[in-house]
Amino acid sequence: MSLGPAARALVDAAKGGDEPTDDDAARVHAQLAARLAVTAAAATAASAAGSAGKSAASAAAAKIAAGSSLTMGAKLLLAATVASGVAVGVAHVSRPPVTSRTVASAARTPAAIATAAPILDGAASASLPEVAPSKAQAAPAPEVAPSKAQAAPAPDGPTSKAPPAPVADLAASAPPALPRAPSSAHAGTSSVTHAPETSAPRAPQRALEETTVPDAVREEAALLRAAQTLLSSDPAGALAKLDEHARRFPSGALAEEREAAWVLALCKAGRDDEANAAAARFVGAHPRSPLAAGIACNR
Amino acid sequence: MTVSTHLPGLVTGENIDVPRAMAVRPTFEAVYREHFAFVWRSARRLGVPPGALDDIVQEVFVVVHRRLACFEGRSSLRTWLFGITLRVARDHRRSAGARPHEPLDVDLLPAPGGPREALEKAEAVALLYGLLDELDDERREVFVMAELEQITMPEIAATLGLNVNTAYARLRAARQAFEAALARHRAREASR
Repeated sequence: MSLGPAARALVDAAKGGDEPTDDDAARVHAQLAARLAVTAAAATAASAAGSAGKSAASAAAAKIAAGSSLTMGAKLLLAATVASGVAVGVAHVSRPPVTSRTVASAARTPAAIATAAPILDGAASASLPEVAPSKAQAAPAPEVAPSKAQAAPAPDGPTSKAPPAPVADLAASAPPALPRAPSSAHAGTSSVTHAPETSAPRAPQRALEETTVPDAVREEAALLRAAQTLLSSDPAGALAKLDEHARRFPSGALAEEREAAWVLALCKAGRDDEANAAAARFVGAHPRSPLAAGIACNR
Repeated sequence: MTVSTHLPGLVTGENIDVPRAMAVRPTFEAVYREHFAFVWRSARRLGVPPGALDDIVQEVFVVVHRRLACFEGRSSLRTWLFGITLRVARDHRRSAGARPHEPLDVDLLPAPGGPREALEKAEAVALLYGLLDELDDERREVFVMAELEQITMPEIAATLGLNVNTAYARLRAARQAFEAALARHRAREASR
């Protein structure tokens, strides 16, 4: 038995009537960019601790040369990437403290920042599959990584402590992460990623570029960045920053990242029991969070 | 950097809706561009209320992002995406409690400012959703996959974890329930 004619006619009549608008696509894309930046940065930061660091950094440098204006994507990426170094550590919370510290340091190397930048396309092409999050987190950071990371603690060096550098990285490399004209996806050629744009940009892309990041998110990012900067030298200070974030933005856009960072800060402060309890709470509160999955994997 | 891992078995006769470009592992951005609308309307058809749609679709793509490297092409990409959407939508239903089965009012849809066809389409969508709401969740899922997205029965069965015969039986029941709901609707209209 197949569907009767009346029912079939209705199904056909409704076809195409419940498609999302370009605005829907752009809005959800922007929300995604903020969330995925964290995951991708976690994966790529871990890989940057390995041998791939240098080439990734130079690739990003090339993108800086290309230059471009700040976009919604870039700003959100900045916000989320700032939290990413912290997030990496969280994924390792259940690992021995030494490893946790190692990877957290590695995450602040220039290479980590650079590779974290091309979030969306980069996550699928550059970091996957050989650096799928779970694998990346499972792989112990090579011995050489911590020394590299420690070797560049100069405040004026190209580490995450110097905000302008990541901004430049992100501003330059974010545009490729934005959706291209939908038509390019239908090209049907063997290259999905690089179908050239021959026509004028279409609505979804414009919509993304015209939107600006809310000030609140920038402030959230600033707080999390401050917390990250303090993490090694002054864990209590980092906790204070996170606490401030919790008070001012209890359910902010980066609340999940804050909670993840909170776990790591507790680790750093040597409050292991509390860290473990917070990690358990985190998993309970965000069972589907990419960060929670990372924690669960390492159990 | 482009990962050019080939996906054996992806391009088969069954998967004619998969562009040839997908023979190369698609990037996340490509998947988003290509399939956002599919995920969006599928979530809608599975009964995700408009207010929760952004979150649900976002959640689906977070999962996609995490698992894309694991996609092996055993099913078409669309079916794989539908499976994820289905699970996220189920989780949502479970956490949101019982779904109210209120037929959707045409007035709730965005006012179709356009021509007459747009209005008719909006009415058809409203009626379709109203009828889908009258199906139980299991029947709704199989109906949406088979009748609205033309996913093959073997893929539907695999997605739902059923054997093919059970899937067919469920589809038959779903079609009957859908047609009965449509008949009731027409009867109500005629008596007005």
